[in-house]
Amino acid sequence: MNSRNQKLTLDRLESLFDSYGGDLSRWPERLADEAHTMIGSSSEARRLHVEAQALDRLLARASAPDPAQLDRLAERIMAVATGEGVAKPANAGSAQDASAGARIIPMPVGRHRGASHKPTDRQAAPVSSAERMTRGRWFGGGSWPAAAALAASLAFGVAIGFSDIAPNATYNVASFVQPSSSDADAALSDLQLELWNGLDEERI
Amino acid sequence: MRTALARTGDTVPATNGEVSEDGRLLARLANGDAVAFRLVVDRYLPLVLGVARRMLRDEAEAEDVAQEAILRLWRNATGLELGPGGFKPWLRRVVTNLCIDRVRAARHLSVVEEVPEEIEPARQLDGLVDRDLSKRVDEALRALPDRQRQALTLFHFEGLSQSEVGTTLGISDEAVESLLARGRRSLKAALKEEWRDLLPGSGDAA
Repeated sequence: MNSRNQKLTLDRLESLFDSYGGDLSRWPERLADEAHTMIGSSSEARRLHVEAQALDRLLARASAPDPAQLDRLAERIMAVATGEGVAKPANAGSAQDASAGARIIPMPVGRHRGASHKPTDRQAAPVSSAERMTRGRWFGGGSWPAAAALAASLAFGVAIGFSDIAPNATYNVASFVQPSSSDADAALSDLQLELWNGLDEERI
Repeated sequence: MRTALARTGDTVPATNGEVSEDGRLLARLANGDAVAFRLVVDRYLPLVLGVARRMLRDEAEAEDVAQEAILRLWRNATGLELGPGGFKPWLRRVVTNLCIDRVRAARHLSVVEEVPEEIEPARQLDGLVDRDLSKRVDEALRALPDRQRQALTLFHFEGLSQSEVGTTLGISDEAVESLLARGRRSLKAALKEEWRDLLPGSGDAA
């Protein structure tokens, strides 16, 4: 694309006018020099230049912000700055805070459309590294209810295990899966029953 | 001296007086001086809103971004170090980045540098000769693909250099040249009657 080692052609000149416009002071210097030379020697180059300048003039007519819109927005900004306590005392903040440069100012309710919500400073209370480790590493971050539920289910399982329900259930299941009712099966079932009963007695 | 296309005067380089005035205002902002902040708002909001309006298609979104950019100055005044251009380059950079983030978040911005060549014709152009010229230009600009419009805004309206535009948009100089060319070519086609009216010898030529 770059004609560094080539003489400027009309096609290339037109392409450059498309990129940089009719103001040659905005062009890369070397290309501007070549364009000046070409404009001076070619009527077609002059025509392209004049057209580019006409487009520049047209684009300069793009609307500027309406004064009423500016006034309204200025009032809104001042309301946010002062109304939310943004105005800080002289000794507030620090160079470190300022250098962050990425703090998001909450928008007024109903005006902040489509923007990603960022926490305010108050919401984003600092969390110590130890606390983060406790939350995140061990319990997945603030998952105490899940841990409690896990412990409760474990305790419930142990209680069931040491109650009368489990041996009977075990016995019944054993009987069900061994429908042959052979002596060996009956002996096994009896043995299981005795084992559970024995455990019950020990527990008692 | 390099000039940009904007008529609002917001691209005129800051004078030494303005820069030193900006320094004094910054010190007052750091002390929480709301009166000084109002001066900053009145002075720089046209610039900030102008950039946001050209880079974003939605007027309300442009206002939100302009508000956020200006308020960042207020909130971060303490410890902020101004460059040789005063507030202007800082604000322009912040609002430009916010606009790019908005467009990217809305998934309007292609991650590749290639964007469609054709422009969607501005709907109101045909048969509305009497319509306000500024609005027609605005419509044509809005119809451009995001990347082309952003490059045009930064280069032609804000007066950034080709390399500055590339740095801002994260693309090469060649890509900037290509985006600008495609953008202007599209505008040239969409606003053919209008720019021809501005040729020397035509009745409307300025």
